[in-house]
Amino acid sequence: MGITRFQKVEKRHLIELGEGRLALAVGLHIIHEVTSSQAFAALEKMDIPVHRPQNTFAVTDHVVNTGGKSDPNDLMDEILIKTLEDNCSKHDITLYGQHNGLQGVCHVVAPEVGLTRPNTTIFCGDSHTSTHGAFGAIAAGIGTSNVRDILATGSLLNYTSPRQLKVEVNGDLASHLSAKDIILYVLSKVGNEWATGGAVFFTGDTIRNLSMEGRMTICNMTIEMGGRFGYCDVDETTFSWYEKNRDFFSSGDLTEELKQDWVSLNTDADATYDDELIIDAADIQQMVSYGLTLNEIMPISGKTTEIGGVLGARAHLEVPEGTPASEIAFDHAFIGSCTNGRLEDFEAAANVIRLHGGKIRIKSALAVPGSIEVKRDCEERGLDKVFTKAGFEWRDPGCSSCLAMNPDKFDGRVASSTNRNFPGRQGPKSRTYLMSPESVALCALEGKMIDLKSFYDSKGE
Amino acid sequence: MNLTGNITRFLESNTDTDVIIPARFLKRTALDGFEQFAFFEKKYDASTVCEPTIEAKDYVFDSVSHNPACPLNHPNCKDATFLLTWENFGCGSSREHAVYALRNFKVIIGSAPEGKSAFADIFRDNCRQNLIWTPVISPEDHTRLKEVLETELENSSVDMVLDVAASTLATKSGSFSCSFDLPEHHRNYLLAGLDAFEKARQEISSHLHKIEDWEGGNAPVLSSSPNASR
Repeated sequence: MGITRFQKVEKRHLIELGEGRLALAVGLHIIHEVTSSQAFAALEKMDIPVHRPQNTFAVTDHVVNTGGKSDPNDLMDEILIKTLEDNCSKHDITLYGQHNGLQGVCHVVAPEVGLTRPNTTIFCGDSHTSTHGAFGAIAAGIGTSNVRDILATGSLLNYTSPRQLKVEVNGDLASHLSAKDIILYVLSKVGNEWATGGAVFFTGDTIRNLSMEGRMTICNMTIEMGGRFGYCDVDETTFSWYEKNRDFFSSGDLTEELKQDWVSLNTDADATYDDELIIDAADIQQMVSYGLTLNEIMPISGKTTEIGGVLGARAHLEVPEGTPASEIAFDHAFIGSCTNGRLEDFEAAANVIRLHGGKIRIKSALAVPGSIEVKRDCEERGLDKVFTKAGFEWRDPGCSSCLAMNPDKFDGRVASSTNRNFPGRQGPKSRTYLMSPESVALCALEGKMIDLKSFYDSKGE
Repeated sequence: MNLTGNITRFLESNTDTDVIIPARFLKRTALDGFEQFAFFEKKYDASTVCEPTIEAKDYVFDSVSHNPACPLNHPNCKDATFLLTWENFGCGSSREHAVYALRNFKVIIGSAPEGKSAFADIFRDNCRQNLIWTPVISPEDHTRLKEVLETELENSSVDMVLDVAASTLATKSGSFSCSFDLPEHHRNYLLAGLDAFEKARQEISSHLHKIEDWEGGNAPVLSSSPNASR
């Protein structure tokens, strides 16, 4: 009987301790300013060194100011960033931060610099770490105690093997749709806890036809269905990522032998699963979330349903039950984040803006690249001008308004390319509607959601 | 071994860690002091202001106004150390600060409809790391306990007993009792406490050579950055 890629990679990294307890060796540990300071403090208290600084990579992203100033936003942010800088310099850990102008969203930066690799294990104190599974790695978010464990031992202690799950998407995806529509559609089918305790294998020819960026968007949102791990098999598209020189990977190292090893851990055709979902890409429409959880997602042809039983002052921001998706009025728009903050995302959104030719019809719109490299690539292509001409603010990289623990906060309904529609997520008085970057761009220009297919058709695309 | 204390409730399904502690309160670098921000948007009403002040290097409440409709503010639930929750509690962000905010609780009781999850994975594991018990009870027992609390909390606080050896959860008065589930490795860790971390750290040292060379060059090594020239 066959096994999955997850199980093969897991087997290579499993350490058996006493009494049936397991640990998992960690290939890459990514840390950032928000979830690491307490872990370093714990090590210090116990007088334990960082075990493998050479496999630890630090990025500042969550609180960084994207507004073009080099000064942190306030003293607490300054202390958070300074604490990470001090811990990195003390323990000889490489840091991509504001001090060297290399800051960015950790899940955008690590793949870009070639640290994310197939067949390895990657952990980070951030639930969207499953993003790296797009490359065929075992990757998951952890709490700060686990960060402490990995810093101290180079391994994840108290490891338990996840359930094996599969999402297979087959068939041609309509040309006006993108990876975000696929994952929102999957979520609309399985809900926000289907994958709890699980590792999700994303497969099928629709997934295989996606770029690495698209696969990252899919794996990124595994946590929104409850799963810690999401991953894809390795193929030619994966190889092509490493054909260009990256900060920590030389294209010359992409040998036939290495490729063979990467592919050798792909999922067996006869692997079995605890549960699986098979989707026909033809059923997928342009999707949007509403409500308060990822259980509330509809196609553009849909209507909102009642959201009941939730206490809180901000219920008034929810549109009335039965509102068609196309009639939700937006106040703000946001393009960025570890879900959709890569070059491909900004190219797609800029294309919509160019075709439309107008300006935003909402209060404000932010375009926040996921990394310095994404920003530079966009600017080399003139995309920044496309956004600013239409009335978007073109910002420096960071997590920005995806979680708004920085100055980038909204007040009202936000059309957003991010990953969570939790109330207050993009500012205390915000209400988020998740969609693809293309949909966000069109929402910004029209003030409401427009069918992308008719839009492209009307422009002869 | 028994854990005892009085109980409070927060029964919304899909309570995410942003609800347990909003992101803007994650900026402290210390472990303690997060309790005051727990369920901020639920416990306090809209007039409550709490912002970082430069002078204090911390958050300061300018005004506090409790929301009387929030069950966590029930007068008979003061200083509770047991929390009753419902379906998919702790979903979303992996932030352990959510657990730091709940460190006043010794026991967080979960439950969900058949086939659904009581707790999100990462949150439950973070509870274990902070030595908070997360027993899961059946939906039928959850309904019974909810009804018992609705009645009894009208008159006084309700004391609970979690019997570790018997895996049972009961009101001290005996008006309610049920069994609970908890993964074996959680139970062992909770009983061993921080010794479990130290023990695993000692044990793993004999495996460290494996970690060094286990995957034949697949693991990235930052010290040998070939192209980090920019």
